[in-house]
Amino acid sequence: MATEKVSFLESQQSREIIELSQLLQETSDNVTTSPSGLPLSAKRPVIKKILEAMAAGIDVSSIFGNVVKAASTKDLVLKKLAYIYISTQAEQNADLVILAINTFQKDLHDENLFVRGLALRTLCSMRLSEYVPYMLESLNSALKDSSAYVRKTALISCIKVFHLSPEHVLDTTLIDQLYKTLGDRDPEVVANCVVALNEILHSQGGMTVNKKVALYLLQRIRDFNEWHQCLILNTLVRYKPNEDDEIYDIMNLLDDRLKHHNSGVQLAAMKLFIYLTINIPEIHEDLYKRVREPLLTLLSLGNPEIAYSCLEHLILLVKSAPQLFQSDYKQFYRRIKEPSFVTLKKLELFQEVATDINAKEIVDEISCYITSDNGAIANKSIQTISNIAIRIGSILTYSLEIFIKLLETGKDNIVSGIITILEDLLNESPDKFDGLLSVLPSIWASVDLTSPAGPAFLNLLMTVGNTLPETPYILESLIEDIENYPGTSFRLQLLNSSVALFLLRPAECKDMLAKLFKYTMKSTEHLEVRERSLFLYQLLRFDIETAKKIFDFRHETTKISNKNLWNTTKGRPLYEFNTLSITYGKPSEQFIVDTGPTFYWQSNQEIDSQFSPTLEFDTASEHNRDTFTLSSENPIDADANVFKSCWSKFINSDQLEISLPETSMLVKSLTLDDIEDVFKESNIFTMASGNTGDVLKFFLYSKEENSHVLILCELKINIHLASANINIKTGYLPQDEIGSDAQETELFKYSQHFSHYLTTCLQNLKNLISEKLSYLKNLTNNMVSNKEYQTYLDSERIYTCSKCHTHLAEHKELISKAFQGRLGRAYLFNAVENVCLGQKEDRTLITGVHTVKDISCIGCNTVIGWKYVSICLSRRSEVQRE
Amino acid sequence: MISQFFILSPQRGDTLKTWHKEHGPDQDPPPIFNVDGVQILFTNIQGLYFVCTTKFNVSTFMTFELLDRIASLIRDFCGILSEECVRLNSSLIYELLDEVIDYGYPQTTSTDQLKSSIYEEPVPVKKENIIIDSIAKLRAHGTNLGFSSNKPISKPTANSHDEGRYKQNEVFIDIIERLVACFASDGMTIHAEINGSIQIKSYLQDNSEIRIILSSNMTHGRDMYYSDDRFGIMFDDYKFHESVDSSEFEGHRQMIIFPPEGEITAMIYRISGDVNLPFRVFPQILDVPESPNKIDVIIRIRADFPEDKIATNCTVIVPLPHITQSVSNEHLDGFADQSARYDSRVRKVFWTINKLKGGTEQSLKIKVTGASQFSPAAHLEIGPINLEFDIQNYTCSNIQIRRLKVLEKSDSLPPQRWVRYLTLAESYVFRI
Repeated sequence: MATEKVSFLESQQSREIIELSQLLQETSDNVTTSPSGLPLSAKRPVIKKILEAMAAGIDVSSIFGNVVKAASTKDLVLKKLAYIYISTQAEQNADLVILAINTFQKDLHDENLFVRGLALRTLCSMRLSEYVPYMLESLNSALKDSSAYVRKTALISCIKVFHLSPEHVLDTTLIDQLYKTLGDRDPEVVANCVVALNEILHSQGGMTVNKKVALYLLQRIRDFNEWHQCLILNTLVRYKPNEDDEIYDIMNLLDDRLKHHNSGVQLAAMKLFIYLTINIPEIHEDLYKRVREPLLTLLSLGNPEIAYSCLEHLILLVKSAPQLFQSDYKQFYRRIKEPSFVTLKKLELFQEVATDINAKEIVDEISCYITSDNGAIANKSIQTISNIAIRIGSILTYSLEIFIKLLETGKDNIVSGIITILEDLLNESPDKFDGLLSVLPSIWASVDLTSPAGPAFLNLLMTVGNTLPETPYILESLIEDIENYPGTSFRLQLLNSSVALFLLRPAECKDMLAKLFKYTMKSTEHLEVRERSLFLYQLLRFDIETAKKIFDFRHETTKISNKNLWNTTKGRPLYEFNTLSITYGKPSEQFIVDTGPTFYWQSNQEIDSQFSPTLEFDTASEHNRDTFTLSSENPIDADANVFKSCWSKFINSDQLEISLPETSMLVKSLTLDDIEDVFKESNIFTMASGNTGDVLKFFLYSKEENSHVLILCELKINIHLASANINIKTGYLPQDEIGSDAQETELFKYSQHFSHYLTTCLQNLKNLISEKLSYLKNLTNNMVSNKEYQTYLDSERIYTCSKCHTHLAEHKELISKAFQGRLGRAYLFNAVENVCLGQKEDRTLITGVHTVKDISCIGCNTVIGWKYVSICLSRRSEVQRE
Repeated sequence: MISQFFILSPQRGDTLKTWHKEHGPDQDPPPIFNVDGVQILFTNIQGLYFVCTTKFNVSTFMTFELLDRIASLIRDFCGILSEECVRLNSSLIYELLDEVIDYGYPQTTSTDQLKSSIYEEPVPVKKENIIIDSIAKLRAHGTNLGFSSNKPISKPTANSHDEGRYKQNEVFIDIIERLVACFASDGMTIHAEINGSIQIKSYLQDNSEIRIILSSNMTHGRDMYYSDDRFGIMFDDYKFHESVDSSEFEGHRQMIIFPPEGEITAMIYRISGDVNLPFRVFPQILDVPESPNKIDVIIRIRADFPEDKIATNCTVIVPLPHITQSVSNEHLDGFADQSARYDSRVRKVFWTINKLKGGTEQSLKIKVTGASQFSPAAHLEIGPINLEFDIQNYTCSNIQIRRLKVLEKSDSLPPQRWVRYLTLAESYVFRI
């Protein structure tokens, strides 16, 4: 019956698939234009259905051919969907893929770069080694494509082809080509290139990172997007600088990465820092201090998963630098809404962070978790307090007091948990159990004796409770009931405890011990128990003195030193920082199955010679610009004559015109002095300035600090045309002039720098203007309203101004709709936002004379209603409903 | 890097079976675990599991950030994130994933860059199926945004017709402060911390520049504490989104932001130490002399914030001893919109006050009858008392946007600027 059903379902499904296939064929490929102006094919819904079926696990491989046909379309969405289908179904239809190759070939030369990228991505995603030649061919041309998008796709595709057929990739010059691509202009291409090299050369330890490559990547680090920064920082970990200075340079360069908004980048940077300083212990310490705040912020503000990973890393750091978080323990307090896995990790951390100073407060905090509903948290909390108490002696008594108080609650899981750990605690300080005496008899009913707490309870009973009057009775009732407690360890402990008690109080225990021996010697299921029972029996029979010696607990000094256990984890290496290893607490070999192929690649040439970064990027020139600083000293002391003579003497000049949108129209609001001040702040001095109608004219001068180049400038700001005309002349003052040719060539460079500099100054001008304007605006606005922005309301139904859509009131504030105003229907609201009040006045309304204030919308100043002043706080507004 | 990626919906019965098989159904799985050499990392975002598997020793932080970013990209492109939305927009999400991850390596997640390569239009989810209680969303742990606007970001190719009468040119700014506080039984503040974030959802047309000046008197780091004035706000730490130019933050409290379309968290900050806490709760446990199996718990709550602000959805949660048998509540003062109920399953009293005005007080008397006699230890089980609330238009740190400017490049209509302040309780705990 069942099989029939399944086959029926299957046939039903395959019929549906065939129908879909027919539908796909029949649907005309008429590409209409969608409302948004993109081509839209009628086949789109059909292929969506096919993909849905595929996602649901239905076999859709039979219609491969039809989908391939559908892939050649102008509708890009349809094409993408068809390609998703092709890449997943290719393996089942290896022989049919040749049909698709044609489409791929065509798309690889499409004019749309996304289509080219898509085709390449899909082609190389097919795990069919017989098509590798096609892939390699298209890769070669794609790596030289004009579009960065296609190039970066090609690089990832290299990895795919490599895994498909390593020999093919290693045989070609592809790797040489990859090393060359490292110098690409586009950062995404470079990043993917690093990724590809790392993966292809995985068996050789990844890409070669020598000084040249490392510095190159570091210089461009800000160009990469956040994910690529993570990957590249991780790659740079392999670089070992030779000199300390270089280490400091790298750390300075990457310092702000520690504050990046993406925690992946932050942690990658931290890891790199740790690697760099691993041999310089004094900096290492300092480094820990620097990562402290960022990690704490991540813990507080990240989502729970990030917080979880963060805690793991904190635990690791605390182990290496125990003092580091000593005063931050409050940050680790439990938050009521956090998932239990975070709390459990926090407990682990508390255990590490606790010191003499903070232990009491930490124990106080943890003791609050013990009454929590979550059993795992309660248990772990008890465990953690006990571990802290064992490590820090000063807190031991206090912890015991807390435990004893908690025992009185009689809550099952708490009692069992505490009993289990009390044994360890009492071993630490055998003289502190007086308080326990009174509680012990009353709690035994709440102890879950089948759990590990059972034996622990019995042990306590004989160590602590041997003088209590109730003890024999407790044991007796347990012996009566022994069949319900099958645990081996429980029975062994029961034997021990009974014998021990018998030795102290023989009269009370004789009968029950006999009963116990009888039962345990008879039972055959637990050999261990039986043997122990026989042994004890013989011991008591023949040598009662020795037995007494053995069971005399008061002299027992078996200190199970948990302190030793403690230190073993301390040296956990930081080498696998920011990886899963930290989570599992073991090196990656233990949980990562490396199945990657091992192939070796020998380059014909030295890598250095292949990788020649084309220094097109700006870092070189930027570097120079940094040294361009203008002297703050006035070079010619406002001597107009010197200026004039220089202006006429200097031949090197540079003219340019820049447009100043939205600035110049407003320059009028500034005085000439204002503008001169801005220049002066930037160390540019003004010789003369004037205002001729639409044109503001300035003569400016300045001196470069290092090279003594004097820069003169004529600046004309045309308000009407919204443009600035800059004429720059450079030269040397007579006393600085040396007259070498080298200086002459420098001059041009400086004039360029200056023009740059001036442009930024003009930008500053813009800021000044807008600030000034908004100040004026504020002044005027204050008359109407002092709000520059509007408060927005957030609820399902809101009422807004019918003119400008400013949010006014929430639906829940509505009191009545049955109101009549001057202009029609009105609603009465309890509270209204984004309005400003008018003058108080008495007005005769339908219900009598009221003191009211008009209210108007702050967005458009329309009067929208009135507010009753005399009655309480009801406001009322005529608004459009939305 | 990443080997597989899934979006699972627990409401439809997707569970992490292998985990529960080993650890029982009650235990929450940690976000990282290992099954036969395959690492599974997942996050829970608005009720959906974003899961990925990998065979490599990846960076956990990067992976979680990536999962989070994918979720927010879906939110940006589809408008909202929900199971139905994922189902309806599967092809759009396929398209997105294709661009975001290639062969397991993250490529780009910038909305601006992605906009040009995504062609599918979002399918809107029917209005009635959206739960618009965005504050509820915010209250859930994490940094998820809860903007009222659920519109997807616009595409460069999209014509204006679908936007109706007025052009979509607005920006929403939320300053959200989550409070973490812990009080000792004697009412002393043990720990108080503000976790704040400034979140921006931009629908601005051409990546206009936004300038925000925060109310001044802020200094960074505790070392500066004794410096100028005591009303200053001391950040312990803060960091900005990449699109924020914060060079003038130290001097002028100015941020220049070039927000990409969609949501970003422009700034997050942490303030601890001297925080103005908006609520105090005074619990009192009284033994009833004549009957030892009864105790009375009196809870008084005082709102210490300005009178013109109103806290909404205040809930005081009081755990009771495990031997509790029955509970009756008595509102001691006020008629205010409030209710108290006892949930015997979790043994907690939930006292909800829908609206609590600043400067006022409310009290509740909980009469507890136990199955047996209450020992003094039972007091330990009452508590810690937890308080939940949200206060709109109020920030505990007094941080305010003093100036908000959007510099428009084109001459279009001035953009709408919406601002909201919100203070939420993240963890507000009173020990007994």
